[in-house]
Amino acid sequence: MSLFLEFSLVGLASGGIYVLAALSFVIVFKATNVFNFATGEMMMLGAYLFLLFDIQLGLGWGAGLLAALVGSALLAIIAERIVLRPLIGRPHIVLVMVTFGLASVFRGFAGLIWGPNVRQLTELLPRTPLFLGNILIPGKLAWGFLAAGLISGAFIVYYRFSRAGTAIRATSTDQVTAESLGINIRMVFAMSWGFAGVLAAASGIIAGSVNGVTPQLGLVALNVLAVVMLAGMTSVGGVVVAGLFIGWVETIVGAYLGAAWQSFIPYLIVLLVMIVKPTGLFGEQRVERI
Amino acid sequence: MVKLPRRHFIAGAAGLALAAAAGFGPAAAQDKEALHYWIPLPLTGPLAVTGQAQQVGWEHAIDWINKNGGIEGHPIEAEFYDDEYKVELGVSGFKKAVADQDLAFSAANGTPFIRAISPENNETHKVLMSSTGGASDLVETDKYKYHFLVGPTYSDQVKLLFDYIKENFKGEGEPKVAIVYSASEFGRDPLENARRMADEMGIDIVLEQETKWVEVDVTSHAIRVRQAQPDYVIFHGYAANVWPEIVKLVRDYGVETQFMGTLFGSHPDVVGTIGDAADNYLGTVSVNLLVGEAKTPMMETINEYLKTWTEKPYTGYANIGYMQSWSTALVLKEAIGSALKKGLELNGENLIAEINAIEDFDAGGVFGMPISFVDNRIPYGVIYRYNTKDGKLSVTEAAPWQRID
Amino acid sequence: MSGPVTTAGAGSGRPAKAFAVSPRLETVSWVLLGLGLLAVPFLGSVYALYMACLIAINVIATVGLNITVGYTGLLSIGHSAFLGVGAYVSALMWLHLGTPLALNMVGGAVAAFLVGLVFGIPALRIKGVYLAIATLAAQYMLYFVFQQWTPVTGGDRGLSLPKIDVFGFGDVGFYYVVMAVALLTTLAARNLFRTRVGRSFIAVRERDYAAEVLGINVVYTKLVAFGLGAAYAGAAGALLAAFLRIVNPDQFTLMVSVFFLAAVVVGGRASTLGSILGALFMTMMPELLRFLLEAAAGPGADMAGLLSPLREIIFGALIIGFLIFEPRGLAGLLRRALGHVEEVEAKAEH
Repeated sequence: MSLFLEFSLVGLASGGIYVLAALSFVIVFKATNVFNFATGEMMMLGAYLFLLFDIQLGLGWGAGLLAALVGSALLAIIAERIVLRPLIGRPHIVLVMVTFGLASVFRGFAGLIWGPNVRQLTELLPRTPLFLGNILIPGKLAWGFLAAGLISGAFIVYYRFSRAGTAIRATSTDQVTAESLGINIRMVFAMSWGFAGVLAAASGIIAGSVNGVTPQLGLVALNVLAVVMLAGMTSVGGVVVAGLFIGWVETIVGAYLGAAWQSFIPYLIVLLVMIVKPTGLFGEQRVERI
Repeated sequence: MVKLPRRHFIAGAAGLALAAAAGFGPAAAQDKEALHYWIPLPLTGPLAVTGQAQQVGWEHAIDWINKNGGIEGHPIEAEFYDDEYKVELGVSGFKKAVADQDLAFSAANGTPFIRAISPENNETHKVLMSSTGGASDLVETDKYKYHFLVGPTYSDQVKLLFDYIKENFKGEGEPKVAIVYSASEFGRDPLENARRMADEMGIDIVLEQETKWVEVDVTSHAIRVRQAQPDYVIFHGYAANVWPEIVKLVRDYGVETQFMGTLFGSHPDVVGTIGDAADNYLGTVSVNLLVGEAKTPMMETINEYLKTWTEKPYTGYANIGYMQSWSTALVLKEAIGSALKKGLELNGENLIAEINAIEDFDAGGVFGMPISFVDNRIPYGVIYRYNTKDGKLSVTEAAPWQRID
Repeated sequence: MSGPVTTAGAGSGRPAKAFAVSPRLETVSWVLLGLGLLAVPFLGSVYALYMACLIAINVIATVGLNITVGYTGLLSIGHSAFLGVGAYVSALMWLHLGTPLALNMVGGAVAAFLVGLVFGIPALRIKGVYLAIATLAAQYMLYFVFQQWTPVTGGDRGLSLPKIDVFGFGDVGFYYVVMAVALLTTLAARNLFRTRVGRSFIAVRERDYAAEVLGINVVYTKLVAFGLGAAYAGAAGALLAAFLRIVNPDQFTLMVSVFFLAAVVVGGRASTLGSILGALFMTMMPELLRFLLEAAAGPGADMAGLLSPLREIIFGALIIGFLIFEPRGLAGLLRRALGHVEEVEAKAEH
């Protein structure tokens, strides 16, 4: 039982990375209705940018981190401007498909610039383990969770209370009304992508600092997608819960059943949720049945 | 001083001048028809770390062979191909290669590719093939007629580690072993045989832990290892990630256990990056990596070549893929050379017979002892011990070169 | 949105003669294509034959996906998993029942259709991207089944199949079989959209409420369209199994599904010609790129390692570029090129 408890704690802690990536995903979906399959690649690029600024350009980890986050935001904004903006108003499947293209381009550039091998990031997070009673939580995991929690928290507060956040929320509720109230929709789109870039990069840097970066790092985001679907795609609060939940499920499943089950079980849950409660667990009642 | 090698892909001007000035060694092979080798490698994708080293190894080995008279006067022409470890890319590349030219030899990186192409190759093309993955079913010689493996299978490798465990275990009862492996075709490959061998040998497999190729967090696997309290942990089926972090975490948990690994986890440069946590790691290897301590002319030559590979810092230890290519090239030189001497046609039938006829061959020290082929493979290996002291890696033989039975 | 492009010039007030050319030209090009395909085995290259078979199989799968994605507007990102179902079922039929290829293909198609329904039913009741999610689930769950159900599927090592010999003609015979199937399935898809069922697919894509008012059962129609796409994939999978003589889980990954999506987008959505062009182009693209790189860099240059990142970039750029600049894909480009000669302004909005 105490072993189960330990796995559960570890799992929840590893869910922090998922929460960040899922927030990145949801903010884009909420504001622009784009189902962003390039979220994982944005994580991966964030981690590589950190490598670039911190080590390759020698800025040190502080400036490197800042530069990587800003760089990721800019990249996301540029991607929105060049790729997504011309497609506004097109059928939603076009908007989904284009993100697959984006993902492929990102992966290709990463492979071209940084090569296929694992690159190690600066060890930002201290290794010293943390003790909760007699349960030991590895340092990187605990601090990674803390960092993810702080960033997510800050973002959610900002999203709730700032003008920018309100504008995004207004846009997601009703684009036309929002525009007529003087909200600059294009600005909102760009901003939401920018935020998504920062969130994904933070998630990627944390993930990469544990296991290194490869162009395949983005694959971990595919489990994030399951989370987001589970949460109902539009609920920011729901994503936090679901992110932690998926982290937990993955760890428990990995520990007791083996890694092959890790991409099976989340999707099984997703499918079951879809049958029972199509809005997702926390989704808004926006779903139309036919 | 041995003959100065020259990189032919980024030829340094100084090297060129020196080589020209030195101007000795047998005449370059140019007079006879070229032998075509087709060499698919995973140059990108998750296994690229091996593929790139293999490519450099091939380039160096072929350069050396061609400068020393080729194979019986025939120069080698190699075509490299990135198949990303994907079956369909491998198959289409192979078909193109056999359509374009008469192949004396085709490499093959992934076992899935070998499985896909062998039936057709057995019936139609009959090209001699060789791979470096060690899937356990490659010893079925009627299924993989014209294929040889330059080294032991994964099961052989596990066997070698088990032998070592049996010999060196000092505790009471049966030695407890945990196997941590990747959820991949090659990761799962030796499991079944490992269970059977453990049973026969009196080894207790206390944990079989499967992990993904790319993981966000590996803590749970480390906890499982801690919980199982094994005397030995064998890692199998990884390239450069996932397993290093598990090693570190298990050490963080304060677990005293002996880490071990099969071939592809035992790259000196990968083990070196783990640092103190991997001190004393034991790895099964099928080629002689200790080029810095070379005692034979062949190994000295390879050592000189290795120094010209500027993309990797020279440590005195060769990369596994790099040496595998040298060993394959030298085995081929032996077999094809013998067939040419006898005036035989260079088809799969004749060449695989020549391969299997190779006996007591050490490829000038590339194999640490004279080897012979058994069931189209080389069931020999060595166990190296990897020590890090003040960030510096040293590799020594923990168990001598031996035949795996 | 885009209807069949041949009708799109109707509003531009061109003389009727100009329109007559287009179908005739099309017939001519079909015949030329057919003759060209008949001749492939006589080129005498194993490689040409291999690529031709691969392209034909990809055409079948792409035509199927186009029914789902292009015509009906449902996003499926698990197409390769249905290919896998077809491949496994046909391989198992062959190994255990010894049934002929034709029957195996039908078996594969039916199995893929049924499995498709399992994932389609929960998703298609709801509007939106839910099918994308369900098919993503299908992708991962079916891969898991292929890979873990070792007693049946052979696990990681997969299933090896005996050599197929069609009427004693070996590879050439198989090539003609593949071509014939590709031709039949493509024609069937083309003609489907001249029937009531086919038109109802398009109606559902355009306006599902309106379609419902018109008496079209929207859920049923979507299910049929999605199932049909899966069935095409199943048939293609059965051929793939017989062609490669090996079936293993790693042939059916998400990346392969994205490949087929790309083929649909690049070729042209809601166009049968587009599916053919898309599958042809996307299958050849890596080979073309390799050829170009070699030509650009000269012999002996170490370009092999650059190929796959470059391919990924080009692959993605093609998807993005066509979606933004030419939603009707290669088929649109081709028609515009031909139309330009005949001064037909085909203008279809998307």
